[in-house]
Amino acid sequence: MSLAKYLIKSFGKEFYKINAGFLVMSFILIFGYGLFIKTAGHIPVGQERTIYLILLLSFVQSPLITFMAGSLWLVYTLKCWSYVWKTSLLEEYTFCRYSTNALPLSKQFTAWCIFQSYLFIPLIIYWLLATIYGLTVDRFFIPLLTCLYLIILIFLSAWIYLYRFNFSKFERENRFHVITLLRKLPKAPFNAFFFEILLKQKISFFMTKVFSFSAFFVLQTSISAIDEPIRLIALIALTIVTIHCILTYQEYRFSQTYLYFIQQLPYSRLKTYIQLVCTYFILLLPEYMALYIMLPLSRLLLFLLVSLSGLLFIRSMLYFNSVTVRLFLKWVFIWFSMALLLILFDLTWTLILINLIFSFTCFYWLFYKRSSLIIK
Amino acid sequence: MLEVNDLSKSYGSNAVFMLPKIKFGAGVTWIKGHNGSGKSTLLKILAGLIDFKGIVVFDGKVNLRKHPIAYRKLVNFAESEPLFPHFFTGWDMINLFLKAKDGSIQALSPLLTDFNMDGYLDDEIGSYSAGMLKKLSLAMAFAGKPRFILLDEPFITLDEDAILKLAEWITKTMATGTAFVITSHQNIPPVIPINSTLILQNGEIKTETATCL
Repeated sequence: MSLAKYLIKSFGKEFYKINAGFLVMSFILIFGYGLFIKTAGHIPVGQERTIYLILLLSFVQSPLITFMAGSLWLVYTLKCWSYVWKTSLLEEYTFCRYSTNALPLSKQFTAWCIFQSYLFIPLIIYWLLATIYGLTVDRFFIPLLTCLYLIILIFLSAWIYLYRFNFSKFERENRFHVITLLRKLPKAPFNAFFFEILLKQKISFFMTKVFSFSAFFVLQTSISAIDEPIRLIALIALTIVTIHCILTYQEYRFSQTYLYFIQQLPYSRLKTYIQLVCTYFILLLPEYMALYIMLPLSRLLLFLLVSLSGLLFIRSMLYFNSVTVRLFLKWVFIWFSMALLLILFDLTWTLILINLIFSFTCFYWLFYKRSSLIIK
Repeated sequence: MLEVNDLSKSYGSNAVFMLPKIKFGAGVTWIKGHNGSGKSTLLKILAGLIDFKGIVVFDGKVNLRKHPIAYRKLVNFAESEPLFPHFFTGWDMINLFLKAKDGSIQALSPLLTDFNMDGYLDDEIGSYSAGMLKKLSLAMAFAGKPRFILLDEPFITLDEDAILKLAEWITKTMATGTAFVITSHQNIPPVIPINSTLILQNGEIKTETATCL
């Protein structure tokens, strides 16, 4: 097996597995922004394709958007470096640490370039689509410039990895860890996911919150004049729930993988459900605090009930066996559409009731029904 | 006494076992069986961790399905290869289990000392070796006042000293009326008196020495 193949198989595939949530969320949020928020949910008939291309067009036409995309690519590259740097310390990569450097540097460099290109597949696809579109509208400069940028990032990454595996020491660095700071804080099942966010899911959380607040301000300013306040609040809550769907999925998987021991403890299901409600309340606390400043208490209460019950509803869908991310996203979309209909017909309180009854019933009946402890 | 009736378990279309009637009585029951025979699955069912078909009842009164809280106060479990949040410290886990199982740290402290755990319980679980994690899981199985303790492969990854200490604790706890169900590939240290040996094979259970009906 060539070195490039080995690197892709050992480091590359694991990278995509670990960052699947982040990548799917970026995809959904970027396209969700383009389709729903930028258009405020209104897509004129026959213009769907135009809307689809807004982001690609902006990329090849607007230097500002190109700069933003470039910055995001740099963040992604740093994430790749940090991943390889940390993973190389693990026991299972001992063989890799002491065997890759037996090859000539030029061969290693080529292999690392191929490896980095593999990690860049999402960026390359986006660049390719934008470039094809750019060529059709006679925009050559930005696609060419970004191609050069991608190549530089690949070479730089390969050089960093080369340094790592040939010239650096494989010792755990004695630097400051967030985990040391968290050691003394009280930990319980209901707050465990927030420690996980702080240690491993920072980017997913940060992006979700950025899009959540952006959605709130865009919806608030764009359709506040044409809609009733109660409907508007409910609609904003629905959008925010949908934006939080990947974090919900990650919370569920974390609970199933690391908190399954709760099932062997003598906790009542009601108590466990209340703990879950607390978890999601804290997850949405930044939004609630922002709205507390901006809205009267009655509307804040409505927002709280729609958003909290909505998150609990979409989470309860995950209790059914073998729910993949793809299937979950489809179900969330269906739930969003049905909930939107209820809101438009002024049935917001019915929606809240349905959400709460469904989520509690699923939780109560399926809590002890897990067929195995293996997470697929 | 822990009793199971018409207990069956399958993963998809693969049937793991079908056990018409077993009674786990006082003392230590040792369940043997080759890899994949369903020993761990059986213990996870008895611990209330995974779903099953059939009836599991303690002392003829406390049904695992109908009385989930009461049952879980009486039956403790230590997994073969546990997974806990890496950022929890050993103390976080122990305190959580003690609180849930109405246990006291005074009762558990001697076991923690015997296992030489005092030095690392303040550290995060992510930094533990397999043996350290195993000791933590075993210590938590002794939290509270369980009437039954289920131990899945308790001797793997432990050093010789810890194996002897564990054997002492099992014998000592057994003397207070707590029964044990143990799965183990390794021979169980002779200091532990075995009351019954069961063999799980081809989805059925056979008795080697005693009370299987």
